[in-house]
Amino acid sequence: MKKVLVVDQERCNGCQLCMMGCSMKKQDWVDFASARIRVAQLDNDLSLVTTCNQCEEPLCLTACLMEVIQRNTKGYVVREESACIACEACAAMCSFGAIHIVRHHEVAVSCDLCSGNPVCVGFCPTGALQFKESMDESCDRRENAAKRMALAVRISGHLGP
Amino acid sequence: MTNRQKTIYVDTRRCMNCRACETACKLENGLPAGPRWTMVTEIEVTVDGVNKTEFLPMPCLHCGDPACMKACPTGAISKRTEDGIVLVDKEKCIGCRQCLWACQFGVPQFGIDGRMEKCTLCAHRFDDGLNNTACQAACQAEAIIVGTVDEISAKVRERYANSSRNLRKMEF
Repeated sequence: MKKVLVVDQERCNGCQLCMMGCSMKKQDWVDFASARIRVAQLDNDLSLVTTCNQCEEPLCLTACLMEVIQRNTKGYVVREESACIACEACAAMCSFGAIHIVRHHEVAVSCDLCSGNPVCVGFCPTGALQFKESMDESCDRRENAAKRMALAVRISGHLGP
Repeated sequence: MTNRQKTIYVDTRRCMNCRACETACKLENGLPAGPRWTMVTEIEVTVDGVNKTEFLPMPCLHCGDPACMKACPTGAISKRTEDGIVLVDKEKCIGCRQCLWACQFGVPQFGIDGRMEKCTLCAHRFDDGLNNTACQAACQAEAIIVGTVDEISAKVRERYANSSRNLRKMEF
């Protein structure tokens, strides 16, 4: 199974270091407008991370007329940015708002997971971003949920969903 | 709706981590290596100062207001009206994994095709007129009870009544 970017929205504190790291990796300077990953500050003191989910059946891939968006040998959705005409069809189709138009390049960009070694994961101070297999994340969540249940009913010494 | 909602109850005092439920689930649903629709978790707890390990099978809880259903951008996840079973339509799923990030219990599974699959509470067995799930039928310790809240409550009360009667016999 391929690894994916796991985002734990509850852990994100909105520091935007991931955006900084992403733009430094992709543009060599800090430019939040060109970051592939975005942290939105919501009204109620919450932050929301949006990034490419690497869908199995990507709507952006079907929408692209220039066949810029392709799936590489590792199974990741990547783009040949030089051929992009910035028609924004992919951005219109993406349900998650994960595709951005870099204005001074007139090109549409999305997260390509830094070809298997995402920089943003290293920058994240809270562990909200992790790079692992979805099956491992599923196991971890199940164990955490079971632990929470155990804490809730510790006194009775009996637990059950 | 509420009283027809089917759910799953696990008596952790009975569960002994034999994982027969996991095996039966895989056989019933023809699952390959990878996706586990139910998984027995091991938790270390302290009861009366004694450390011990509890075992808790974690299938889908078929929530009343499922977070996965709200997170799904394509509407692939639906809740059956007659018994509240949460089902996924693999044809509609685009494999974006938003349901897994939304589910606090880590239930959604992604196999080799990358589409979401999860516990169906053996909806096909109930449709065929059977009244149990594969995991329930396989559980030798009878730790798993599936049914409506009323059915589960009746069964648990019966068990409790039997156990207290045994206690009284021992005392007198």
